[in-house]
Amino acid sequence: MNDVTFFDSENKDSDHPDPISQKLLQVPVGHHYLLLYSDLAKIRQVYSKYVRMQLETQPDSIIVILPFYENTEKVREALEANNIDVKKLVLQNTLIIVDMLKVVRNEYYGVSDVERLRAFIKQVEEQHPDMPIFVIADMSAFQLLKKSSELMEYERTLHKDLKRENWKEICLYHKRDFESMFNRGQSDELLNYHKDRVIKV
Amino acid sequence: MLAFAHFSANRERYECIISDYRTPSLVGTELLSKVKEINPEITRILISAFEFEDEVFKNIDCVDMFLQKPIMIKDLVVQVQNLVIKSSPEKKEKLIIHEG
Repeated sequence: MNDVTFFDSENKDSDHPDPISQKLLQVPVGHHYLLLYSDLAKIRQVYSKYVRMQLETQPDSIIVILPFYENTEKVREALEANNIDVKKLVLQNTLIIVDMLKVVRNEYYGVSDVERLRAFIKQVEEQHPDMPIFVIADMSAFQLLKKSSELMEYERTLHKDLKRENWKEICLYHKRDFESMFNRGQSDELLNYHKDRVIKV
Repeated sequence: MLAFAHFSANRERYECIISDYRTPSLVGTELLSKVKEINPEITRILISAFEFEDEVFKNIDCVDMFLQKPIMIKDLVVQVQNLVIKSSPEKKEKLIIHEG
């Protein structure tokens, strides 16, 4: 695994920004990062701290969280534990928390699972054309759906999507799902493609 | 995967398997299908914090019972006891459940 940034996120103090959250905050708009995790409690800390910092830095932004291994109520609890006013943001429609499986299984769009994800994000963009959008999406759902080849294509094309200058996406992968979904060649290709845009928690 | 490997190596020691649905690398329903293939007599329970009204759960035959999280341990114990005894009444005397 070359060019992967490793961080220790053991810091349990919710007021203290950890290095991964800082790193995510510094991701420029228009970019896409992979975040590999193996501990749900740690990743919960990371995204909740990151969201708090992102909102402090750019209050007028849209946060989209698409969890897979925890339900939306757990996500809300994690954010609230970091002093984020979830109720208010959700009512303002600036914080959107939806089960990833519901997004990619939504038959309304009538397209492939990955295209449903694209369509969902596009819909958010259209509703808020002037606001930056920060997406945290757990792609482990595609392990359940057995759609790794579709996902591979999605990951390959994200950096080429130059129209999305007001947007950044953090794709979460449980480490074991990443290893199951992609063979050695594919995972090497993805990691090399993302180069310094891969973070392992 | 680790759970299945442990089960495969110790299959005679299991009476009941409880699996979460959303589990990394091997989904709960896949695990329970594999368990059923090896020993259909083992009681299989699928547990999830997510809604069960989903299409996915309609045609699953590898599961004896679905349980929705959150579930109190004491309630889980009762469910397991009832299900294991129902499937094999002679196990009633042997059933020991360790809590905590």
